[in-house]
Amino acid sequence: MAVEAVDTKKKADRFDEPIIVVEKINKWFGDFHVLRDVSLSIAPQEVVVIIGPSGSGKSTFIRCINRLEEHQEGLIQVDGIELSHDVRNVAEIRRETGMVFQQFNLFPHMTVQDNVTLAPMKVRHWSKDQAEKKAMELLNRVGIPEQAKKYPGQLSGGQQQRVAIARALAMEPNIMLFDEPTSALDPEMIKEVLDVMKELALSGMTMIVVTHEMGFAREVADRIIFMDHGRIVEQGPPEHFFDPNVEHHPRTQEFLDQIL
Amino acid sequence: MTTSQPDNTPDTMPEAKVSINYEDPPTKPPPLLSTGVLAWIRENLFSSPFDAALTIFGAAFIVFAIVGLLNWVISQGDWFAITFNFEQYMYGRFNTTEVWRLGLFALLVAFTAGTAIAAYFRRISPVFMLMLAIIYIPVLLLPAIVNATIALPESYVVAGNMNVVSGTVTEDPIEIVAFTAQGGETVALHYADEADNSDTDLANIAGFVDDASNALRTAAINRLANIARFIELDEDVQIDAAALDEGEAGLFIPPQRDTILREYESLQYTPDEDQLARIAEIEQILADEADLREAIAAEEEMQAALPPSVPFALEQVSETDGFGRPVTVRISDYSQEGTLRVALYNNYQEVATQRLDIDESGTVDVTFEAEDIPGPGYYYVYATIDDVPRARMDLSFSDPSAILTPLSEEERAALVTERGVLLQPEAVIGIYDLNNVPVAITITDRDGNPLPEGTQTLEPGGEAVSFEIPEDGWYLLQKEIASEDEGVALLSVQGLYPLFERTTGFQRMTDGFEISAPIPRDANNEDYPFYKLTENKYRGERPLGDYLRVYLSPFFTKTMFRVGSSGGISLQTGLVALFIAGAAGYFLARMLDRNSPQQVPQRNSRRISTQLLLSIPFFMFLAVIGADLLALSLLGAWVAYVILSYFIGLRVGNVISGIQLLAVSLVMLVIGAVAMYFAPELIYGADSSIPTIVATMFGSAAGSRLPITFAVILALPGLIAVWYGSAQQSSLTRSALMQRIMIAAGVAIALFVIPVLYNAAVDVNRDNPDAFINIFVHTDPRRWGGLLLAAFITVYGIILAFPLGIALALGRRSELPAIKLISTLIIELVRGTPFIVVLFAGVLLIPFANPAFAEIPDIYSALAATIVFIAAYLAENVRGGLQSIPPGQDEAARALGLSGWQITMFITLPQALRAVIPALVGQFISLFKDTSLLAIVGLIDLTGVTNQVVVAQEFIGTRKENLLFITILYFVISYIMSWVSRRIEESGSGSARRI
Ligand SMILES: Nc1ncnc2c1ncn2[C@@H]1O[C@H](COP(=O)(O)OP(=O)(O)OP(=O)(O)O)[C@@H](O)[C@H]1O
Ligand SMILES: [Mg+2]
Repeated sequence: MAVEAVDTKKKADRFDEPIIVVEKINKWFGDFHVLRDVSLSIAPQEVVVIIGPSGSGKSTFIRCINRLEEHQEGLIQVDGIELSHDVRNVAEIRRETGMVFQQFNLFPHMTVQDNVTLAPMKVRHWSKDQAEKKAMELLNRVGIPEQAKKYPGQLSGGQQQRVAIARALAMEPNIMLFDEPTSALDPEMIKEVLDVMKELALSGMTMIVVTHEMGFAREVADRIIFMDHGRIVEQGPPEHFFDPNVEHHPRTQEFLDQIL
Repeated sequence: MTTSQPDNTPDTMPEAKVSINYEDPPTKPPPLLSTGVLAWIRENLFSSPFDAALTIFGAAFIVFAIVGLLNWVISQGDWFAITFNFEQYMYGRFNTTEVWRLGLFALLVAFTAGTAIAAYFRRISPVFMLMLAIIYIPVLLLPAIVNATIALPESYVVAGNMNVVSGTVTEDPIEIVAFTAQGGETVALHYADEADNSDTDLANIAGFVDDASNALRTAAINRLANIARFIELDEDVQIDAAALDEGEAGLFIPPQRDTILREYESLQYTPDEDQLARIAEIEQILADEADLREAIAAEEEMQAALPPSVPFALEQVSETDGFGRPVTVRISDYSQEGTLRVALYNNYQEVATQRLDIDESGTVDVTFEAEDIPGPGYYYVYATIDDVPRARMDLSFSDPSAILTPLSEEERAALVTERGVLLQPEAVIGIYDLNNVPVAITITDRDGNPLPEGTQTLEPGGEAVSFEIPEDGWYLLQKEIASEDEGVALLSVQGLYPLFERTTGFQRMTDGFEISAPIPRDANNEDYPFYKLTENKYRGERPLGDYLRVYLSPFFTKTMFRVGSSGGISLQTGLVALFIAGAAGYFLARMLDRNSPQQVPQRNSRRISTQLLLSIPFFMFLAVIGADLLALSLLGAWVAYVILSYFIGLRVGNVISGIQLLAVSLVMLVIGAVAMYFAPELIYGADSSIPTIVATMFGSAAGSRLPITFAVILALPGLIAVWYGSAQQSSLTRSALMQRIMIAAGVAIALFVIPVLYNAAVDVNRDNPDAFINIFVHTDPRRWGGLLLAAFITVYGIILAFPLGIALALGRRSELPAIKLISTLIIELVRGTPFIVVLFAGVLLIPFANPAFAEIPDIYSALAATIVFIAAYLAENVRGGLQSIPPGQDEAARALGLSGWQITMFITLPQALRAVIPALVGQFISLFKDTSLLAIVGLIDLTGVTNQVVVAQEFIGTRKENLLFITILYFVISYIMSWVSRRIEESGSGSARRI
């Protein structure tokens, strides 16, 4: 529909190879068919927001991209690497993708700094100095350099989520996955996390964001995807979703009516 | 000011009630009864009638239990067994020449504890200080105060020329008794006052008594007890016999009667004539008494039967003073027909009666003869018609003061007792004519030379005698009856105290004063009897002062921990040294913390206390097991070799191929294995052999070289270290790395070569404890015991069980079915078996596995069993901890690209371990307590020591004391451990920090 119009608005230079290719993937939990023939391709530096009702398979989908969940049919290629049973491919893809969770999932027994430096040191074999330098740089970037020596339990939710973002960024990923990063936060903390994410998007990071923050989607997203019952029902640029005059799929309309 | 619009106008504005309260009332303190001690008591102890009842009941119970226990502790317990076996309780029969190692180790532990307190507590709490004061002030001050203010109790000895008999025991008073004394002491003797008055005093003697004195004492006690029992039985037997005579059932149940009568007979004693006369007299009084009581009862019955109004007149018609003369009473105005009976009574006894028939009316005079009224008494008359009492009248000359009254309960009891006593043997003091004979007393030195005082005679009623002891040593006390008469004297002596024979010499019980010279011998070259502990125990109800002076004070001040053959330190000194070490640790850590960064003020102290804590197992190894310096040097060389391999791996990891890496690591393996193979021979020489256990375990003959398999196994960590290093990334520069490689290689070679050169230069004798290399000489595990053994098993049990437990926990969660099955099997098998069975399995089954294992000392088999046992429980704890970690942790780590092992090592396991710290401490404490089971497999842990002590001749009958002591020991140590763990948990350093 109006996809081309968006492309001209932002980042017109990303017409090269897609960085993520998903082709007809299917996934079942037992007998329950969670993802049904989902196909998607994402260009470098593109920001994709996924919305959809609870249980529609959004989390499952993005978790498939870094293999936290295993799909049973179809093909996923990230940065040219195909996700298969080869353990090495999995490790490599995880190095390329950072993920931020709804529940932060910081390591409670380590200081903020150790949370951030652990993976670069153990996975990328950086020296301690190098990792710490990077960590301080990132903590600066997310705005909490002074909390480096504290433990996660001593931070507010918003601060914790920003640490989690820094932790994911420390691996220098090309792609960031966000699974409802703000929905466990109190309203006054949501903004500080969204600001970090906006800054990240502007810096050119490829991002897939599951969120119900429609303001964020309207402002930052290149594309919005509406999922329901395990499939992509409708996708398009933000204008498409926020234009009251456009005719939507009835399920989309129902969902939009509820949240807008 | 309250603005409330509108005011109470619900009718007009029912739905809009707006009120704004601008008033800000001042704060005030809470009511008195809601805060403070009173409130606490009210809320916690008496909040409901039920609670109050429980409180009172509980308090009563506690008081009851504690008072009873304390009473026993002070007046009965024989604590001497603890004082003189304390050493054993602490470390069994550890070589006394090596005890200093344990001392140093204890100081290190105290020092570490001090640093830990500084590291984990903000401030020392007042409660802690109070506890320290409660422990230390008595320890420091009490012995000094007690020794200064309370005199030692007296000893009792008997001098006599006849035997003292008590029950089946016959004691011949010892004429010459050997004892030890310190120069300057005084030995003073006098007649014991207790022997002068009565058996009751004699029975209450409290002090050290020799066998003859004890025989006197027990004879008195037995006699008093027999009398009491006889009197008790006597009454019952009389009642029973009387009842049987009357054909009634009697007091005793038939089957019991025989036994009771037999006891009664056995308690009886054949009295002499005087005694028999008195017994007859008493029996007469008692019989009269019984008659009187009967008469009184009959009189009371008659009085009760009198009608309320007399149906006729009864009056006395003769003169008032009627003694020795007849007296006439007149009955008139009767209106009844029948047989009139007039009876004259004197003191409940009917003395005369006259009967006559009367018709319906008239007057009758009745006269009693003069002989019926012989003298003053209590006379009265009863008139009965047809045997029904009708009237009663006191005669005018009756003397109410002459009324007989029955004996009071006490008077009766006194008579009964007197009779019982008369049927009992003579008083002990009487039999032996105690203290009525002169005694000649001499004290000589061990060779028989009398002291300057010469022979002094103690006369009845005379002065006490005393002797000055010139110098430390053995002395002989001679006491002879200085008369032709037979007699026994009970003497009380100051300066004579029981002795206890130890391998090192003879220790005086009251202060531990030790003489190593042998017992003096008599002309026949036989040992004189000496004032031996076993034969001169403290007997009798002990007063508090004696308890403090004889038991408590020596407990702290006597030399407890002997070092080598002479010298040693007391418990007091030891406790003070521990305190100083702890304080030193505390202040050192506080000083180090001055340089800690502001955000983490306790960083330095935590670091040092953790390092000390981690080093404790190593120092425990040195202190307890020991290894000579050459072996230690070799151990150091081995550690340096492993570190060297790691650095080499780091250096080459990035620059060479896999094949080359394999070659490098194999080279390291070969170097290590060759060095290990020849090490024993190089260091100890070709003629000493390595332990056969090591040799046979690995299938080679015992020789001076290590079995090759063993050497390779020892070198394997080098190979692994190369690989591990090669997989690591290092921030070190190439030259820094090379420097480290050189240092490690130098240390390894030096530590290896120095002992080799030393051995070449000096003829090493591994069996000579004085040789310098033997500074930590290997000790015999069979001699470890007591607390040391418990601590050893606990510390190494937990430390070694830790990796095994974690491995089992991870194994059980493993996705590999074989590993999972094996782990599950081990865990469930062990958890389904009691500890004692696992212990037996360890001690009895391990030797079966390989004959060579039979040489393993039991303590190591027991340790192995303990490790497996603890590991199984630990595994379940850790598994629980792992399960409690939210799955998000694992997901986040996986999303970051960490591998499965890395996630376990860095993310899940550390959190799981933190979560199970309380359970671990619980396990630590329960293992410490469970070590008491080691006694059952033949090791001498605390209970084992108790079992050994209570069968020793000197300490027979002290099981209660010993068990109470180890109870306290277990409790105190467990309590301290749990308290420390609680505090560490509260300080937050141990707990997992949750989001
Ligand atoms: N591990 C699992 N096993 C079985 N069913 C699962 C599992 N994880 C998710 N599901 C189911 O799959 C469906 C999709 O789940 P998913 O978490 O992807 O939904 P979602 O769109 O993220 O919902 P929400 O907005 O509530 O987060 C849900 O019905 C959920 O119950
Ligand atoms: Mg979801």
